[in-house]
Amino acid sequence: MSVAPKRRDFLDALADRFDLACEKTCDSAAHEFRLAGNRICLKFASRQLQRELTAALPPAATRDAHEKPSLTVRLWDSTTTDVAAPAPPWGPEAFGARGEVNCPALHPMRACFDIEHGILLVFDPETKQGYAWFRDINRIPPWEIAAPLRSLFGWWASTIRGQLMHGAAVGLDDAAVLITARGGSGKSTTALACLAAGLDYCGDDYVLITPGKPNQVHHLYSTAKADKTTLVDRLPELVSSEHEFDPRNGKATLFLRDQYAEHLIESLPLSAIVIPKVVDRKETRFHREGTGAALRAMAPSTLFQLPGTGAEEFQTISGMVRETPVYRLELGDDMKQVVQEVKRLLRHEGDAVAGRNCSC
Amino acid sequence: MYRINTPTVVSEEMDGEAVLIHFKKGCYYSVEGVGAIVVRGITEGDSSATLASEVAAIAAVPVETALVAIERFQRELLDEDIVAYAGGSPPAIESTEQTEFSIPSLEKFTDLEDLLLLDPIHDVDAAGWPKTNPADEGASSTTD
Repeated sequence: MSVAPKRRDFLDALADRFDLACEKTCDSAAHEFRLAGNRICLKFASRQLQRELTAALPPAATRDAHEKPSLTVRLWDSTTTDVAAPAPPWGPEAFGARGEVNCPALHPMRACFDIEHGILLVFDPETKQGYAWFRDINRIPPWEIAAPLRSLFGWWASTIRGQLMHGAAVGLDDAAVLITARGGSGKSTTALACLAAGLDYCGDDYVLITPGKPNQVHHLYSTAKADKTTLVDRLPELVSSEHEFDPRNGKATLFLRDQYAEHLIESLPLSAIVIPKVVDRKETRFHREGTGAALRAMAPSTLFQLPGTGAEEFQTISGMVRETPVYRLELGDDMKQVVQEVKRLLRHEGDAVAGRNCSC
Repeated sequence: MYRINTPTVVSEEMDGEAVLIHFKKGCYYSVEGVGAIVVRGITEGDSSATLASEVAAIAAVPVETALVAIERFQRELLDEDIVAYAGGSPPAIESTEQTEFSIPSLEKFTDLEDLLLLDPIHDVDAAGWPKTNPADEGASSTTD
């Protein structure tokens, strides 16, 4: 069998299984939203799956009937439909350390499989069609609900020269900072403190960056993760009796869309990269930092969590870092001062970006 | 001659710092200064002799001293599976003499290792999908 038919056969089989799943439930649903100015269409074989996976996504957006979706994803699960994914056209040796499927014969199709939770994601960049199969709707992990289809959106992003990035982003007056660091560095606390203080918010864990002059940050997920100590001690205004803390890491997922809708900004110009670090003092300070530190803070955690990424994506991230001022943010105890310093940086770098782009 | 172990390893140099990512081990590395120059040279296919001349000029040391230091550094990269040696086994390091000049070691970061699977190959269900739970035998509608 030649290469192209093997890929087409598998994609056709996925489509057939999705259609069968819809016939089984008679309960299909759709969710459309905008991402980086593009129309994204998610088609669910069941409303139950739709409810599970759309709480973190941007709200439904009205659309021009003539606008073709930039990405269409068909999603179903075997629990509600009793329909499984078709057999994979690759052997078990094709699975990589990040769950990615390494099968050159199916190029340029991208795929990954979460073995522990039985989640398959497939993306065909030629047709901009994606598929998501969940073996058991009751075993979808909390991080998938907080940031659904992350890998698939990441693969799609590369078709528009964008990059899904591990990091938070907050903004003010048409400027945004990307806050990026390994876990425990104060990224989420900083972002949530800024949101609680009324700043614009593009995301906590993942945002989409697209090229431009300047580069643009785009909102995708309206969730954030925070532990009990952070919420109770530092951000009491965000505490809710509905929060469920994961016993494994003590963190709760906050769904921010309803309460903070007016602060969830679709897109903002990227003006700086911020690497936070908690220090043992009250004052918060900014210092210029080298680009290597930013690359180390952003690239590994981004790429290790996006199956199938490699040199090309590393170059994309590097290029973005080279074009953006980098700061180290030494986080003191005083959260109000943290927010003030972030605002100060946003105003400073926002003016600089405006000056750099001025053609007069 | 050594080469970067692509696609398993990727590297970028930024402001005199080389950042490398190893996609199978879940580690990432940083090296600055002369070490970054050596990594760049390996990426560009420079021979050890060429690198030794460049490093000797920068560090103001004899070429022979630079060569020994480079070869030791390259062995460190090889031990970490960052580079591979093209053409058989790498040569033995000729000198065991300790000198004051050496290339700083790689800084290795392992905080993200848990993000990668220890063993990506698992048992599969009836349809061929990997599984960790013996009960995951797939749904009934699996006719192909």
